[in-house]
Formats: sequence, C-alpha cells, structure tokens
Amino acid sequence: MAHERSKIKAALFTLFLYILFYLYIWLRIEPVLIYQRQLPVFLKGFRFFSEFNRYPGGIVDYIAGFFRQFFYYSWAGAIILTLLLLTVSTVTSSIMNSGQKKTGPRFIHHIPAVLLLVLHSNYHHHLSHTIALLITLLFVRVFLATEGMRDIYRLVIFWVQLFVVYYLTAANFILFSVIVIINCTVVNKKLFALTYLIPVLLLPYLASLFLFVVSPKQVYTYLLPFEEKYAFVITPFLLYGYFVFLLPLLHFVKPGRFKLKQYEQVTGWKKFAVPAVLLTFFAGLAAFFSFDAVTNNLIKVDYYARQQRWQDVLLAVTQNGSYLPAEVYQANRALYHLDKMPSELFSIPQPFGTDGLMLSEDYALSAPLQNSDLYFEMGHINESLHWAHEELAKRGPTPWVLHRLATLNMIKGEYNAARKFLYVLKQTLFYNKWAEDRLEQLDSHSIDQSSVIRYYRTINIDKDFYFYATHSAAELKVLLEKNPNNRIAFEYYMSYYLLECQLGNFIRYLPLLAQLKYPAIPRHYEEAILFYEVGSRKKVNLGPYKLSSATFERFKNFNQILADHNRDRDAAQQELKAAHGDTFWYYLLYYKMPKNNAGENESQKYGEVG
Amino acid sequence: MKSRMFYLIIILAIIGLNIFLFAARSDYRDALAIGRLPFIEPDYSQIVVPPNIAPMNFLVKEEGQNYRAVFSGFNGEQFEVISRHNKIIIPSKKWQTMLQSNRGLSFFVDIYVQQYGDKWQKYDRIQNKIAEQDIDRYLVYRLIEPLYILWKKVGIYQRDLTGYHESAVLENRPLSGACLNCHSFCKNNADKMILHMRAGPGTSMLLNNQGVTSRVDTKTEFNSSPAAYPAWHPDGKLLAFSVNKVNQYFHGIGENRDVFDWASDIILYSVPDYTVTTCQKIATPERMETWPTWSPDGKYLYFCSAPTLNRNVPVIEQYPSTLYDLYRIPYDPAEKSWGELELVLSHEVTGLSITQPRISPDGRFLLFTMASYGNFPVYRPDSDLYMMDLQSGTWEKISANSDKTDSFHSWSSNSKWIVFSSKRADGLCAQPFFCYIEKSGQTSKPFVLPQKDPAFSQTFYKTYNVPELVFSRITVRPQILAATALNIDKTIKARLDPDINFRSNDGGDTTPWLPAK
Repeated sequence: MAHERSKIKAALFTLFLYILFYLYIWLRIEPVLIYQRQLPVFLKGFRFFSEFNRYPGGIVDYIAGFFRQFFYYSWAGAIILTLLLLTVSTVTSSIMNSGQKKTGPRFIHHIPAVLLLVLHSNYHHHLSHTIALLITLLFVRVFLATEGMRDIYRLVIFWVQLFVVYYLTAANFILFSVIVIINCTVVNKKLFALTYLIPVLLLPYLASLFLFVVSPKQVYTYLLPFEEKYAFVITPFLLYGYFVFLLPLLHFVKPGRFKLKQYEQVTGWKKFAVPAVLLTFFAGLAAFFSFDAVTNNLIKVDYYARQQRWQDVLLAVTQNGSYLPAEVYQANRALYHLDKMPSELFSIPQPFGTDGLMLSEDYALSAPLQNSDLYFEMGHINESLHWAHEELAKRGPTPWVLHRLATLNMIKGEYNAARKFLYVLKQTLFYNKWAEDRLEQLDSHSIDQSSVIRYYRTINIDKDFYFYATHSAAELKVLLEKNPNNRIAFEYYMSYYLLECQLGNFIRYLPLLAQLKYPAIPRHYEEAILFYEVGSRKKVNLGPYKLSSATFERFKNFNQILADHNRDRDAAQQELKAAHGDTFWYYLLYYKMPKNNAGENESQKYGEVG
Repeated sequence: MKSRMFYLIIILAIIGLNIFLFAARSDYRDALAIGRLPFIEPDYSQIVVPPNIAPMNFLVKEEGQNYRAVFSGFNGEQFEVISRHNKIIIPSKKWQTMLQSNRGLSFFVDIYVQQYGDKWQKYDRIQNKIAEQDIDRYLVYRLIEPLYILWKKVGIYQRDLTGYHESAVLENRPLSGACLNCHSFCKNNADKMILHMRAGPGTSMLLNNQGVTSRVDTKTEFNSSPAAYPAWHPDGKLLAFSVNKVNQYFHGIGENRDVFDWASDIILYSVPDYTVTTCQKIATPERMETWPTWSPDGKYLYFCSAPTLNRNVPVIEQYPSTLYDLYRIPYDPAEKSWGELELVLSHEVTGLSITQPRISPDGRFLLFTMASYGNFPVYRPDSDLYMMDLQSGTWEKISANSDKTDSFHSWSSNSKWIVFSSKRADGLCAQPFFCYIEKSGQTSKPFVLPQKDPAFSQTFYKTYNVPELVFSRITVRPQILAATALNIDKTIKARLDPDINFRSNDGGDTTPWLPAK
C-alpha cells in the first residue's frame, strides 16, 4: 500500500515537474523563436528524404526537421520538447531499473531532462541532438535487456545495434559503446565485453571507407552537442558524463554507504518532498541562469518584424537597449512602417550609420532573407531576388524563402520559375494552400490581376543599372526616379543621407515632400535643413513648407548647452543627450563627427550574438 | 436458403452491371482525331534519340481521365502504356528492345486521352528518329542551387544515361562545405579526370589519373590564382588552364548576375612532373586569355581573349562592350615550343563575344558560345551555341538554341552527340539537353535528360552545371576522392617552369563566391 502511495506521489511530482517544464518552454523559451532562428526545412516526398539517408545521423536530422516544423506554434513546440524530455527521463529510469534493480536516489532520473532543458535554452541547440541522444538511450536499454544471454549472442546483438546506432545517431555510437562496455566490464565483470571494442574501433573506419562519405571529424562529432556555445559550456559534458557514470555509480555506491545523518532523520512525506523540492529548485536555477535573454530579444525582434508587428519591434528594441546591428536595422524598418522614420529615426541610437539602415554585405550574408525583405518592400525586385537566393543557398528551401522566390518571380513575370518554387512550397506543411492558390492563379492567368503583383510592378525598376552586393544610395535614387511616389524609397534615401551627413544630396530631394503629401516638414528634416542653412549660409527653398518655431527654439537650446560647456563636446554630452539625444544634431555631433564606433561590432553578424 | 439466393442474385447483378458498363465503354480505337500533336512534357516529339537512352517518360498535358500511349517501332513491334493519370512511365525492357531493333529508323507514339464524357481522343502521331550511334553512357555534372554569392550544398554526380541511376562522384558535405567545380575528362575517359575544390580543406585540384588520385596546388610564383577552366591535352599528360581574377556585379532588371574577369591568363600543367608553364603569347598582360581547349590532334591550343580591362575605369562602363575573340596557337609538347598566334574568329566579324570553344573528337566541328558581351555566358540570357565547320571555316547558330541561356556544351566521344546546359525551362535552373549532330553539322531538336518521374523538373530547383559526357563510369569511389581532398599533407605543390621569368597579373586567390556558414 505504501509502495503504491509512493508511486502515485512520484507520478504526481513528475506531472507537476513537466508541467513546469512545459510552461517554461512555452512561455519563456518560446519555440516559435527556435523556429525563427533555425528555420527548419522539411518537404514531403521521397526525394527530400533521400538526401538524409546517405549519411550517419541523416535519419535523425530528417525526423528532427519534421518535428521542428511544429515549433511554428510555440504551444505545439513546447509539447514536443516536453514529451521528449519526459521520454528521456523515462528511458533513463528504465535503464536504472534494468538488471539488478538498483534504482538509486529518488528522482535522479530527471537530471538529464533538466540538463536538456538547459541546452534547449540555447536557441542554436538542435532538436536532432536530443533525438539522437534519446535513440541512443533506447538502444542501451534494449541491450541491457539481453543480460543473461550467452556472451556470443550479446556480442552479435551489440554489433548489429552498434551499426544501427551509428547510422541513426552518428557520433552518439560512442556514448552507446561506452555505456555498454562499462556496464559489461565494470558492473557485470564480464571482461569478454572488451572484445566489443574491436567493432567500435573498426566501425567508423570501415563505414567511412565503404558505406558513407564522411570526414573523420564528422565521424566523431556529428550530432554531439559539444561544439555549441552554451551559457554553461559544461552542460553537454555533464549530460553525457551522467550516462557514462550512471550505472557504475549505481552499482558501486551501495545504498546506505554515504548516509547523510540529517537526511536519515527525515521521515514520512518529507522523505519525498526534500528531493522533489531540491530538484525543482535546481531545475529552476538552471533554467534561470541558462536563459539567453540577449539572443531571445534579438530573435524576438526578428520574429516581430517577420510578423510585421512593428510596434512590438520598437518596444523590444528599446526595452532591451542593447541596440545590436540587427535590432537597429529592424527598428528602422519599424519606424518606416509606423510613419515615424523622418521624425524619430534618431530616437533610436544609430551607431552603425547607413549599415543600420541597410545591411552591409557582411551582415547581409549572415541574414539574407532579412536583407531581401527590405529590398522587397522598396520594390527593388532584382536585389530582393538576389538575397532570397542567398537565403536559399544558406538555409535551404524554407517556406519563407520559397514564398518570397515565388512572389518575386511572379512580379518579374518569370512564371515558370515561380511555378517551380510554388510546387516546392506545396510540399511544405503550412504554406501548401497558399502555393496551390497561386498555382491556380498562374494557370488561369489571373495572377496579373493580383493587387500585390500590380503594386510591385509599378514601383519596380524598369531600366538597367549596375551595382555591387553592398548597399548604396544610388539604388534608392534609381527607385525614386522610376516612381517618385515610392515613399519607402524616399524616406530611406533621405535617411541614408542624413546618416551619411551628406546634406547637399538630402536637400536636393526635399521637393518630393510636397509630391508625397507630407503635411509638414518632418522633425529630423527640419533639423537637417536648419543645420544646413546655418552651416552653408544658404536659404533652402522649402516650397509650401516652413520650418517650425519649435525647431528653431530647440536648435537654439542645443547650441546654448554647447556654449555653456565652452563648446566642449565631451563635457556637454550628458546634458545634450538628456535634452536632445533624439535629434539629428546629436547624432551628427557624437556619432558622425568623432570616430565612428560602428566598427566595434563588426564581428557580430546578424543574429549571431550569444 | 432464401437469403443465399438473395445474395447470389445481388452478386450476379453487380457482375452483370460491370460487364454491361465495360462493354458500353468506348473503345480507344474509335477515338476522335484531334488533328494536332499532343502537349507532352518534356517535349519528346520530333527528336532524334540515342539507341541506348533510358525510357523517356513524359506527362501528357491534356485533360482527361485515362491515358494510353501506343509505342510502335518502324519495324512493326508495338507496346502500350495505359495510365489513369497523365504520367506515361515506359517499361524499360520494351523500350530498349524497340530502340535496339530500330536503330537508324523511326519510332512512333500515338497518344489517346479519354475525356470525362467517356469519349477517347487521338492526337497526331509523334514521330521520333533513332540514331545509329550510341551516346556515351555516362553524364557527369555538378548540382548546385542557382549561385549568387553563397554556396552550401555542392556535389559532382554521374548519371547512367541508359537508366536513371545517379551517384555522387563527390559531395562537399565531408569537405567542410568546399566548392567543387570544373570537372574535366581526357577524351571522354572517366579514368582521367580533374576537378577543382575551393575553400573547405583548401583550394586545390583533385586529379584522378587511372585510379590514382592526388591533390595538387596549382598556384605557383607565376599565378597566384589557382587553375580554373581546364582542358586536357589528348595525350593525357598535359592540361591547359585559365587563371582568372573573377569578380561579380548585379543588374537592376532581367538576369541580375554578371561575372567578369579583371585579368586572366593561360597556363599548362604537366601531370607527370607537376610543372606549370606558359608563354607570353597566351599570358600577355594586355589581354585576358581564357577558355582553353585543344584540337583533337593535340597540335593547337584554342582559346578566347579580349583586351584587359582598365582598372581606372569603372567596370560597368567598359565590361558591356568587352568582346572576346577566338584564337589558336600551335604547341609541340615534345619540344615545348609555341608557334604563332592565329585569329580564328574575331568579334569584329561576329559582333558578339566568343567563349567556351569545344572541338568535336573527330576534329571536324568547333562548337562555341556567343553572347552580347563578356566571358561568362552562363549569366547571359542571350548566350547561344554556334557551330564552326573547321574544314570550311564557316559558322552558324545552331537550331537547338532557345531564348534563354544555352551554354556549357560537351561532345560525345563519337562526335555524334552533344550535351549542353540550357535554362530554357524557367530561365533559372539549367538542365542538360542533348542533340544529334548530322554529318553536315546540323543539330536535331534538343531533348532534356530523361527522368524516372517525368514531373521531376517541376520541383527540382538545382542547376546542372558543366554536363560532360564520358563513355565509362567513374570508378574511383567518393570515399577515396574525399580522403584525397582532406589529405592536406599530401598536397602536390605545382612548380613553375624555371624558364618562365614573367608573372601573371591575375591578382590573387579570391573569387566573389563564398561558402555559407
């Protein structure tokens, strides 16, 4: 009866613990952000599968790719991850209970799940690593079930299992072998098991000589998590070390050998509650400290931008305050979409100058789709296509890039190329309906009536010009020449020259303000005009507009503060920042005129922090 | 008992109804003639096919509920393919028997489509010719996503043209994502092969010389760029290469990629003694020499060249007017002596830029590419193939061209077939197309590489680069090639011919293409 009660208590605790895990994954990690970061590729059909069955670990990659699609919904991704952790924990428990029934301390089998939770707090950690570990443990459990069989049979079973484990989980065969050999030799005292080492040593060599084309590094590292940069670098070592040493420790550390006097005095429900509370506490601590808030925010910004939740983009960028290049880039996009770019551009620190407005080639190569997004919005279709192809090369046929490539080719009138990407998109899980609809439109020739297609055709460039992979104002100029009503091209063009502080070029395009029906001169434009007029002693023709008196007052005040500090910029900075930190003048004085500190973050590629 | 009788009656009634319905169905032989050819994809109509080609499965792009394709050889044998969907999958044995027993003759395909109203429709008969001569059995190509700057998955593959089996010669997955390119064979022989590798374990050339593989660093004091476009001398001991300083820019409309050379020269690499040599006639700083190829007798080196670009002028102002000429120069490998340069075809005559010359193994024809400018026809939608009769010196555009990029061609060892890359299907992904070459040099209507699934190309978004025909299978295993590629310590360092006392202005080992991380 007491045993039954204990089982129920343990089950309830497990349920409680994994509900906590689920909530943590769902609400804190947010699997949709893992989706955003890792962009899973999965297509229906044998051809896609056939790419994965040719190398060790490929099948696990394929399975992980399938499940990662569901991370598109955080709640579904959290279910998958939680179930996976629970399964690992169950298999671990089963391994502990196998053979000689040494169960060890209560709840110890949940430790791998906690460690995996820590690993999954890192947005680079791949699901395939966890699935590979789980499969390996399952094979270990199956092998342990053969205890009592004749050695020769066990050897044969081990050989077969070893090959299958290697094929399915790549380098995890090392873990499998180590656990099995240690268990057989150290725990079961069967020295015969040392012969197991022979196939272990031969397998990778023979397999890479005759079966698979893999490099030595891939043989011994693929699908192991040791190369990833985790918050706690020791975590994967703890995880794998746990399994290596689990069985010997259970065997040698006899119950009662290391008695903790105080713990021994604990009786009744406390005997259950103490380890449960301890485990929950340490799980909470691990989760708290392993969570990568910086990367989380960076991906969130990217995610909101993908969802066109522009207000959320701004909020996430300003709340976090780290102003990474990718965040500034997306914040600038958000400012445009919220009609705030000409008046609030400098409310966001712009330490990267034009590279925060349009990604430099270096950054763009690490975030091609994000770069394609901006060019798409501007109607620079060829350049958007270029970067969409970079994304295809970099990440493979993700639904988003297929969607983009199909759309761009439809805009260009390259219908056969569009069809190709639509047919591939039809093989995905969540965008197949969209693809089918577009294919129908193409077949019925009604695609030309699509308002989206027609809009982009009106703003797309129709005369050839040449450019390199890095951004330039010349592209924006061509877009504006093609269609002076291209508002995004106009605001980016003006912002480009504000950030470059090339006010001559900026002034030249001011007449478009009236054409684009701006009710008044935007704040930053006024600031730049005023600065230009004072600096050049030339009056700018503002057409129907005039500078607001408020701007004059602010400029006066800005200069007064400088004068109060004897024009010592360093001394005046704090006061100026508080009063005028969101102005063009402040940017000019502290970001542009002194040495440009944009270079400090050059090594941080888009989305590759943390 | 009654109940049994009842069920029996029901069963008999069902059987009877089926017999009635079957009998009432219209016979395809009474089909209504439509009076036009059917739309089929790929277009395998009015073509010349090799007698050893795989079954050319196709889709019938006509609405219907049942499809029937009747294949008949000129000699009378016949077989049918019946399908409930529009995919016509041809049985391999019957196909091969038909082709073999009708060499040099024709075969016919009659397509019948049953409409939803039960009536059959018959289309005009498709008539194809079967050539006397086989095509080389294997096709070697590179598969890569349309390349802009980044690459990730790259592989060289071989396909048995008598069937559908494709196998990897080498993929870049174990090579830290290296770029693999420029595979080349000596006289269509798979046992003498080179391919280039960039980035990954290090830029180098992989050489398979009759089963012995080696890794060669082709950079020398003369050329800081590694070897690029290759051409085997027919003696199998010498290779000509271009060394190029490649750059890339983009267009605002149309095909958005464009590639140009800031400089290029030609070098020769001797396989037995790892020596690089050249001469000023093919490596002058005033001109950019590229795309070498040998005459089948090995006495002439053909190549293309144009004046070197002025680095003080923006490239976009000069490259669109840069046109390449076709030259040749006599070379004696025994004496290592060069003759005088001869202008074979000038851009002033063609008005176009000449690249990628390839001479038929019998020495009769020279197939080359021309485009409106430049030396990288792959990115020029106006690039087309042209055939020059080397006996008469006349040349003309071949009929197999399309309005999209047609380039990167290769001859079969019997000079009767060519394969080339064409982007005609979608303007983006090149596919290999084959043509039969008549004695006059005329080309037959091209047909695309047959696939087991005729809908293959609908979803295949990679491009077939540099299709090369070889008569035997590449037997060196990918594992061996990968091991050679990874064995940096055993890299053979090419040495420069001590008589070469000038230097190329190729400008270093950089390209505009990068591995995706």
